[in-house]
Amino acid sequence: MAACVCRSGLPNSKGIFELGKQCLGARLLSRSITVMSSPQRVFQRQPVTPSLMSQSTALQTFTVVHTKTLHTSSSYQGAEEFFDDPKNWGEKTVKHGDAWALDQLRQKSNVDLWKLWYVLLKERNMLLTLEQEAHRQVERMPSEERLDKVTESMENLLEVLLEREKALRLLKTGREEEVPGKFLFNVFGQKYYRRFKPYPMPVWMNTSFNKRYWTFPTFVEYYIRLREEKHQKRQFAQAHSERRWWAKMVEKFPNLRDQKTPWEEREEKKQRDKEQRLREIEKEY
Amino acid sequence: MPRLTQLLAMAARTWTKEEAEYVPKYIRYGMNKPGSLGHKMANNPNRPRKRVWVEPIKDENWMVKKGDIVQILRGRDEGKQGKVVQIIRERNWVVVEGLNCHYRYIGKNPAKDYPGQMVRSEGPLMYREVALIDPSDNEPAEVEWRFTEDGEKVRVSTRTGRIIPIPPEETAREDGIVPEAYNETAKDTISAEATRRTYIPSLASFEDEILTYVGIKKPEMKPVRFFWY
Repeated sequence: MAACVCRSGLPNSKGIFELGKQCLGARLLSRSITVMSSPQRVFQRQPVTPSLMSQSTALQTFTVVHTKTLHTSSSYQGAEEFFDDPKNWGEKTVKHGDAWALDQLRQKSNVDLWKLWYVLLKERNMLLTLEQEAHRQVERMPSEERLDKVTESMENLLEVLLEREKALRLLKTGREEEVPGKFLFNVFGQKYYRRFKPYPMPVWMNTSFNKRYWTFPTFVEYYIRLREEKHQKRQFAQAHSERRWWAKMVEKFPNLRDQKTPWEEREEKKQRDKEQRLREIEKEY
Repeated sequence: MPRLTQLLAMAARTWTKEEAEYVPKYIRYGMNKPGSLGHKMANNPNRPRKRVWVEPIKDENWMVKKGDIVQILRGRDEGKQGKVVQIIRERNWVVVEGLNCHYRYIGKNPAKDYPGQMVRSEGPLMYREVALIDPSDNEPAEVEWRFTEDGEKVRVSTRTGRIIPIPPEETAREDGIVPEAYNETAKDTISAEATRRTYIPSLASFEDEILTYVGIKKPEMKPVRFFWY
């Protein structure tokens, strides 16, 4: 297969380039020749300025543009960026580094992060193309962890940007969330979080808004109690089955008798986390 | 004539939504990696298997690390020492190199009367059947976590007080990169450049900073009043 250039970068791909000039690859690689007739009538719209407005009503004009009759270029139109460096074509593994860590990205300015995003995006597109082609040829993608690392870097970058946005919002508005909201009870008596919407008029003017159900009628209270009873029954059943499971475990592995039970540990962990959070809040003040 | 990818998809089996999203109540972990064909065969939704009871050992009580030298306390290879090659926490399993082996034939072809290639494969050992070795006297020892004077958490043998160091295979990266011996490629950012600080905190938002950098001026818009509810 030496004569066939593996454009996709896989070692033994039965490439589409065997088909010859009709295939996409050949078109990508060949010199693009376009022939345009000249002269061309090009439609131009003049910018609307106060001076023009006063002079004439016709703001759209036709101008005649002379173009070259023959235009040649040997360019890939940027499609070569969907493929890896030609040196890596046919390799089983490709040497690569680590993903961008959060602490590293936090050191970078917003402009740097903006540029990095597009670099990572192009690399991701290249790796996705390679993955797709590997699936098509039923072969292993060389160094597939590269894709995971690039995805991780992009997620970290987004997280850093959101952190900065959140900090600014907290400083300027005192709000952590992007859109304010509150907890409400719906007509069935269920608690839900409603994200506020921006309305052009105040609440007392919005008749269609006020016609909606924003709380539950009195007869629903009976059903709320039934729902709570059902939830509690399920909780008791889960706790009971957990105790039966632990009893069986202790029977099989007697050294578990000295250890604490899982529900006791969960309670203690909750208590410790609560105290930790209180200590952190006290430190801030 | 459909495309090649479409043809392959048609030939492949189709699953219903329930089948594709099915998560069994009990997953049996074995020597097969989760996600592999062998693991799926062992956890066939149409053939539920008996549950295996596994002693819950907490992370702080799990002393054996990958690459440690351990001695086998029970079984056919009792008294022998070997290096830990694989750990499967879900079953409290430890696979020791070259020990507790069974022999099997691979690639047999009864039609052509070919018995196959004999291959030696290591079987897993339970965590309670192996013990870490004290480097000072090469004997199995009870181990616990203790702190050094510098505040470092180390494994210490209770019998002699000797520190058992963490093997390098435990701290090695999954992708096989050794940071000290890595030479940067063309697509890598050099570490000096990656750690350099370019961030200057300001009250301008991300969008505003980009617009000023590019040179786009935001059109002057009359502030619109919104009511949030």
